[in-house]
Formats: sequence, C-alpha cells, structure tokens
Amino acid sequence: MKYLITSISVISLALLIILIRSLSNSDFISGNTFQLLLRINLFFVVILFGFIAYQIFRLFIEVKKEITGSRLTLRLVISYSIMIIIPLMVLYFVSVSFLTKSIESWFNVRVESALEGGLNIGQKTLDLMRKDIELKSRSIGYSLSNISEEKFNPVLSDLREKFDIYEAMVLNEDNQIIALSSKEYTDIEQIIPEREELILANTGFHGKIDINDKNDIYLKTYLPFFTAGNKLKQKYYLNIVQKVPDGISQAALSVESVFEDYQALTYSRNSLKVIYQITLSIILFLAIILSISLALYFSRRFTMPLSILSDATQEIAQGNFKKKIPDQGKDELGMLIRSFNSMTSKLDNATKTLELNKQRIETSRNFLENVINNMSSGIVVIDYLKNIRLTNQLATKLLGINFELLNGQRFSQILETNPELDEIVTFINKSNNNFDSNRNLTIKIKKRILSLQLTKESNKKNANSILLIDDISEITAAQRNEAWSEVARRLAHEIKNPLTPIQLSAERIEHKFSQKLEKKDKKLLGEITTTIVNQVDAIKNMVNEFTEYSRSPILNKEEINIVNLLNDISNLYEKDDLRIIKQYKIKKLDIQCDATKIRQVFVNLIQNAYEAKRPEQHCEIEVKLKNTKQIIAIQFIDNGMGLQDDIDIFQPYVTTKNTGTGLGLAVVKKIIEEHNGIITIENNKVSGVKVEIIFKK
Amino acid sequence: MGEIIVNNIDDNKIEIEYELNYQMHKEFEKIIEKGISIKVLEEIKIIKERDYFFDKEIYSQKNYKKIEYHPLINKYYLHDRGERKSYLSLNELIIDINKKKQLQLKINKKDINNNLLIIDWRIEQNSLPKSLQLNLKKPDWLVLKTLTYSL
Repeated sequence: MKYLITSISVISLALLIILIRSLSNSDFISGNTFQLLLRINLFFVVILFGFIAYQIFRLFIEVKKEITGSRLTLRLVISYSIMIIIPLMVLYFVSVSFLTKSIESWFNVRVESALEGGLNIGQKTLDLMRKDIELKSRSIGYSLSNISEEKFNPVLSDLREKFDIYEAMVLNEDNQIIALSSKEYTDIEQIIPEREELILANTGFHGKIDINDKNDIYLKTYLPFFTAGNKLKQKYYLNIVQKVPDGISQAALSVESVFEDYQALTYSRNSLKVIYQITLSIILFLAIILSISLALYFSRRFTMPLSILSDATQEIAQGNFKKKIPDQGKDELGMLIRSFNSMTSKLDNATKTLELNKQRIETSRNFLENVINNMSSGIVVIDYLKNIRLTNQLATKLLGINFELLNGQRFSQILETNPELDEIVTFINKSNNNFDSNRNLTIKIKKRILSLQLTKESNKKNANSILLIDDISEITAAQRNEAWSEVARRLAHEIKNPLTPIQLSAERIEHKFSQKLEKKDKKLLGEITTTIVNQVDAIKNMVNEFTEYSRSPILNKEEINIVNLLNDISNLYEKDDLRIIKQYKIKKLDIQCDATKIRQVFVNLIQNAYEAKRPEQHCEIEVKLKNTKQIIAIQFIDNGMGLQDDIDIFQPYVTTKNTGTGLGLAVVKKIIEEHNGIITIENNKVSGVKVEIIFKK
Repeated sequence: MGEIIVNNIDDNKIEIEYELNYQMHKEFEKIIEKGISIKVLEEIKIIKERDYFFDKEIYSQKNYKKIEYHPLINKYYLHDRGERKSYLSLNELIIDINKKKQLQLKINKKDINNNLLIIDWRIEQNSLPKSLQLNLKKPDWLVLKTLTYSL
C-alpha cells in the first residue's frame, strides 16, 4: 500500500509540475494537453484521497478493535495533519487572493484605455493620411482631366513625385492601365485593381486602407475623371496607392497586436482565474493528502516499536519469555527495545532455572512419593499442630480412610468417618512435642492386626511426626500357624502311638471275654468295644488331619489339565441334592501343580459347600474358570448359608460346623499358598459364598 | 443545414460541392471582434466506419483558413488557399464562407463505396492564443460545422 501511495504521489507531483509549467509557458504544452493534465491530476488526487480515506478508515477500525498503538497513531496523525493543514490553508487562501488580484491588475482600466487610445491614434493617423491622399488624388485627377490621354504618363510622373506618392496609375473603363508611375519597381499583374473597386469609384470617389502580407499598410484611392479636350468625353480612373511610413505602420500594428493580446486575455479573464484557482486547489489537495499520508506513515513508523513493545509485554505477561523484538535503530526507542530484549533474556533464563528447579523438586517429590507408596508400611506424616501432611496409599488401605480428602486437616477428622479409630487418635494426641522415644500401638481393625509406630522427624521444635502402620496380620497368622503346626505334630505323635494298642486291646478284650459272658453282658461289651474302636478311629482321623496340617510343604508338581480335574471331581460328587454347574467352555487349561493336593482343595471346597447348604434346598455350586495373561482364576459359588462376617474361616480350628475340626479350609489355604496362589472367600449378595482361587502365571 | 452533393464519380476522382450554411456563434463573433485571429481547419475525409475499432481513414485533405480582424482599419480578412480576401463586415465574410464550394477529391472509385464522406470545419484549440486555450472544457464554438454524406 505504501509503495502504491508513494508511486501515485510521485506521479501526481510530476503531473502537477507539468501542469504548472503549462500554465506559465505557452509553447510548452497545448490547451488540449492542459485539460488532459488537469483531468489526470484530478484523477490522481481522487485516487490518493481514496487511499488516504481507506487508510484512515482502517485506523478507525483498529481503534475500535482496540489494537495496540492505534490510538496513539490516530492522535499523531491528527496532530501532524493539523500542524500541516492549517499553514497550508493559510498559504492557499493568500495565494488565491494574491493571484486573483494579480490577474485583475492585468485588466486595469487605464491599461485598456491606453491601448484603445493607441489604437484610436493609429486609426486617426490613418484617417488623416487617407484624407490627405484623397485631396492629392482629387488634385491629380483634376490636372489629368485637362490634358489628353497621350500626356498622362509625364504629367502623372510629375505629380506623383510632386505629391510624394508611392504609386499612381490611370486606368480606362476596361480596367486597362493607361499611365503608371511608381516609386519602386512594380509587377503590373499584381497591382491591377479589381473591377469591383472601379465600380465602387463610380460613386465619385472610393478609398480604402489595406494591409498586405508583409504587414505594410497602404492607402488606396480610386477617382473617376473625364478628359475635357475632346468632343466625346473619355472616362478614366485614377488609382493612387500611398504606403504608410514603416515607422507609423509598425507602431500602429504593434498597438493593434497588443490590443489583440489584451482582448484575448480580457476574454479569458474568468477562465484564467478559475484555472489558476483549480491548479492551486489541486496543489493544496495534493499537499494535504501527501501530508496526511506522510503523517500516517511517520505515525505508524513511530508507534510501531511501541505497539511491538506493548504486544511483547502482553506476551511476557502471559509467560512467553522467549519473545524478542527486532532491533529498531539507535535512537531512544531502539535503546528501550534493546533493554527490553535484555530483560526478557534474563527473565527467560530465570524462568528456565525456576522450571529446572521445579522439575527437580517435582522429580524428588515423585521419587519420595514412589518410595513412600512402595513402602511395606503405611505412612502418615503429621505436623506439630496434628495436621495431616503426607500419607501413602498403604496407609489409606490399612486404615480404610481416604487421606487425600483429609490432607492438611486435623488427624482427629478421621473420626468423622471412622469412629472405630478413636484409639489411634488418642494414641496420636497423647504424643507431644517433647517425646523422645518411639511409641508403639498394636490394634485390630477390620480383621487386620496393625502395628502403629509414631516417631519424630527430628529433634527440632515443631518437627513433624511420622506414623508407621504395619499390617502384622499375616505375621501373626503365620506365627499362630507355626504354633498350631507344632502342637498338631506333637499331638499326632503323642496321641497316635497309643491309639493302635488301645484299639487292638479293645478288640482283644471283646474277642477273649465275649464268649465267657452272658448274652446281656456280651452285648454290652460289644457295644463298649465298638465305641472304643470307633472313637479311636475318630481320634485317628483327627490325628491324621493334624498330621496333614503340620506336614512339611513338599509338593510333587506336574502339568495337569485343570479342566479335566474339575470335570472328574464334578462327575464324582454330583448327586441328587448336589448340583455342580460348570460355567466354563474351555476344554484344556494346563497348570503346574501338585495334582493330589489341588484335588484335595477342590474336594474340600465342594464338601464344605455341600455341608453348608440350607436344609430346605438343594446345593448348587457354580464353577467358573478365568484364564488371562497374568492369572488363572477358579471360582466356587454356592447357594448355602454363607459365613459370619467377623470370623476368619481360613484360621485353624475355626469352623461353623458342629463336628468339624476347623482344619479343612486352613489346609486348603495352606495348599494354595504353597502353590503361590491366593484364596479368598466372601458372602454372595443373596446367599452362599464365593471362594476364589487365583494362580499367578 | 449544410449539405454535400456528389456531382460526379470517376474511376480516380470524385467531384463534390457543399454548402456550409454556418450560423455565426456569438462567442466566435465576440472573439473575432476583439481582433483575435482564428485559424480554421477545413478537413475533408472519407472514412470506413468500424463497429469495434477506430474508423479507418481512407482519404484525408486538410486546408487551413485564417480569419482575422484589424481594428486599426476596421477590416476582416480571410486567408484561404494562398488567397487573402478582405471584408468590411464579418457578415460578408460569413456569407463568403457559406458560398457553395466545389471540390475534386482524387480517390479511386473502388475506395469510396459504402464509406462516409465528412467535411469538418473546426477551430484547432492549439492555434488559439494561450489564454483562450486554458479552458476547463472544450468550448462548443470550436466546431463550426460538420457535414456528412454516405457514399
């Protein structure tokens, strides 16, 4: 756009110069070209005006849109324009006034009168000369009318010389030259007067003034006369030509020429005024438009660095410290921009350092979080005001509290959702800033035995306290199992040895004394010995279960198709009131295990389910198999009576049956754990339990 | 109304006569009376009209005439084809101009068919005094007369 405006401005200026030259120099350019130039100039002025109007419109739009720097640009444009336009307007009006007065002064009344006077003098002079030549002509005519035709030539010559006449001739009625006398050599063909002239002379006299091509003024007279001597009067015409002296004719013609120019000027007086005014107006408009365009250009040039600076500041305010502004020269603005760039560089570096430190802190925090989350103990960090500062996932899991919601709040807030944890709150509250040694607490929460240890972060005042929470349920259970295994092993060893002699002795007593006793006593003895043998068998079975529970964990692993194993057991145990529903479609699922032990597990679970059935209904066991990339899961879902919530059925000697030893499920769990598996049991929503065994692949 | 009459068309010439019938324009009279010399161009041309381009000029003949008035001697002059005629009044001059004029145009007969003969009397602005040239628009008295005839 700026190149376009510049080009048009240059063209307009060039055209304007040509236009002005055409006004001042008449040979430079013709009237047609002047009109063309005027129109082209006006056209370019209109185009420039259009461009500038568009630029100003754009500026107003920018102001409306609140684009940075537009208001300042507008103010500068207005200021510059006013600064330029006012003097220009003054100059314009002075010039127009001066020009109008100057043009008017050309047409001064005195000048016009003088010219008219000069012309009148010329006319009067010529008139006087005409009258003089008329008199001379009449005198010569009179002289010639008294002589015969033969004497015309000498008399005419004498009289011509006497009256100082330029040329004299006598013509007959046929327009033929009879006598001729001339001051200079004359071409006869050229000087023969026209017949019309002679006709006009018939009125008595005919005179005229003529100007030839060489701007010589001639006075010509035509006088008819008759010769007196002959009886028959002959008619002749005397033609006298008198040349006006060069000095007079040149002066008169000069006045006439100036008068002509003056009249031409007078005629175009108003046109001249209008044209000069229009030319000046074009100059004014062009100057105004150029000044506004220059004002626009310089305003934009001036405000551009400020706009860039403002935009850059906004970007920096939004956090883009990489923003750099191109160099804007060596002035104060350039210095400001260099300082700005330096500031942004420093800010960028500081931000980078900050970001780096932040990343380091974040990494450390993540690392710490990972460490804390992967710790085998639950951790709760409590500040000196007893506010929760940091927890790990295990703490949430062990205590059953969503610590994320409680972060930053008092530890005692946990009681709102978990009132059973009052013992822990009391434990925490009892500690004060001065305790030196660790404090411990063991507590049973939701089937878990938790060990809590409260330690102080440092010896400083207001140091944080760290609550370590360990789930010692498995350790306790393992210890208990170990103890029970030892008891069982010893019991088995101590009890099993005398059982066989007792059983044999009872059978021997029956065998030896049954024949000697009466029928009534014999029957009694039989009943007693049978009872002894049965009870000994029962004790043997119990001892065997003890032995089984306390046996060493040596497995005879092999790859078996667990689907076949489940199918075999299902077929074997299904009966009228026990229905096993196989909810799996796979035919083969190999697993590395001790087939005998796993069979024992499945049998045990089916038997337990059958024994826990409701009396009024049949037992239904759904068996499900799930095989994924990570695990193999086997589920036994029955419709029995289910479990009480507060008992751990996998603990030894825990049973819901009247005749059970409480070792069946304990053995099942032991076998599964020996296969690195997990067994869980939970009540179904409606009835019965779901036992799930998970083997990791 | 002026008119053109074609008297004869030969193989290589055409004889025409025309009457200008010019009515004196007041501005023109005023300028002459002020003693300003005026150059008049008599242009005789034959053109072939074209719809989508400039007309083609087949024949052109130009004669310059000059009309002047000498207030010093109160005489009007007409310079035409090397002749110089004087008149006592402008009316006489105009009457002379309006007299029937006969012309002979040397042009092949085949070139004139379906073309347009134009006789144009006009004042060339360039020949006017400079002060009269500087007008915002072309004065209407510059064209004295334009006669056309379809050949």
